[in-house]
Amino acid sequence: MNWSDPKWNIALLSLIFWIIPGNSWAVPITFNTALPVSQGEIIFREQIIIGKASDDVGGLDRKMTALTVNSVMAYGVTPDLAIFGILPLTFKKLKSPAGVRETDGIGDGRLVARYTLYKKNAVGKTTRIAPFIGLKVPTGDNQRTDGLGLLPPNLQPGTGSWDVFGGVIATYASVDWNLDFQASYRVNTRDGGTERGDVARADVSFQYRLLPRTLSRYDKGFFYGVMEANLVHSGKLQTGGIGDSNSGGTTLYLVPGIQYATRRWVAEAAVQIPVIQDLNGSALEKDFTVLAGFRVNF
Amino acid sequence: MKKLITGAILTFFLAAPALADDIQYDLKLEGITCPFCVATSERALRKIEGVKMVSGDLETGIIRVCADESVKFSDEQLTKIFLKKGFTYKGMEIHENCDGFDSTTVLSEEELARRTAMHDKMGHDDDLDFLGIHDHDGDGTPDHAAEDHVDHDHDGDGIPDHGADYDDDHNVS
Repeated sequence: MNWSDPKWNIALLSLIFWIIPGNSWAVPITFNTALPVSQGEIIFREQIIIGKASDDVGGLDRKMTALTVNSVMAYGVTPDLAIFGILPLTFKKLKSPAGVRETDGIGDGRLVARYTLYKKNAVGKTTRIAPFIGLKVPTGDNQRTDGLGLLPPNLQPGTGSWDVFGGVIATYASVDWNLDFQASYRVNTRDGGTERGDVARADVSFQYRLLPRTLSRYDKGFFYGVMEANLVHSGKLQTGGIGDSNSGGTTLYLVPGIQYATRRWVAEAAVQIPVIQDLNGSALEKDFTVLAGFRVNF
Repeated sequence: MKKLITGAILTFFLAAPALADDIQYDLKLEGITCPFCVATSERALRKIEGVKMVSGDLETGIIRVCADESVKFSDEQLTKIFLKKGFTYKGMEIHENCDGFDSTTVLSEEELARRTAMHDKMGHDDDLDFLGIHDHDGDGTPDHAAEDHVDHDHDGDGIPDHGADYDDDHNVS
């Protein structure tokens, strides 16, 4: 049994790492937006992510469940510069014929800075382009053990490595609908003898106002339908300089969701469904991921 | 005659503070696309001393502000306020009164405090109780005229409200 199979780890972390907050606009659920955080304002976001994977093409009958609670704080330093801090709490469980292994704890935190490079406002609409850069800090433990010894990397709460990531977000927002696009890249560094593969990612999100259909000055909140797509490519895990042939690959997700945005808070829920999983070797394929959460503006 | 005098006093106390010398500013903004955009703009404006009411219209991108004559908005000031919010201020129209507001308009904190204080004073201050001006439902209009209370006996003690036992008035179980 290949306990060190990094596929799940990479896929899960890919998801967690890139879920960073937006504003009380209708915004993407699985990635960030270029819409501004007002200067001096704080946004708090809480998100629960439940992932399940049981499609074991290797015939090892493995089943993995991961639950992550992301706590996010965003602050508008200037009208164009916003910083984000994200701290995840994770619970992971892997079932197999050999037994059950599980762990929980604080995961790796992230710090992100986003700067609005281009903006064009018009009546009832705005267009923005904002590059961002971030640092993943190894706040999570990566040396957990159980009765069978050291847990495999995909079950550890943290990765142990300092990783950098960056990208660009483009957003068009109007009163009726919003469109967001993100392209990003994460450089995963070495921790001891292990180095996870880099991750390249492209995301798109479309949010359409379903209710109210006609605007009035008395509207207190908008109900949106959301459709997103995430294309994620992960490189192979390197152990001692040798690539793991059962790691890395490409996955395309479709993410239908709903969102309710008021003057002060947003509630949202979505299901991330892998429609194409072109993974290397005998990686454990994902079944689905459920995301739910809220954001509050202070 | 008594009713006429009472009505005149009521009109003076309730209507005059909200209307006299008030000015309505229609601020034109670009980039607001959601309820939050309106709310954050309203919050910023309500902090300004003298601003009484703020109301936003998402579709037209216009934020209406009702302020007393002490408020003198400048383009530079408004540009700065909305720049911090991420929006673009494009200019304003000034109207001589606040006709663009209705009962759903959000009051500024200052105006809300002022009206609350006024309510307390008008409704519960012993010195003014004789007027019988109360607004317990908070709708901005008095519950009853003073003389109406003469015929009321909410506490059921057989003595009309606002009579000698006024301490028990409104003690309706």
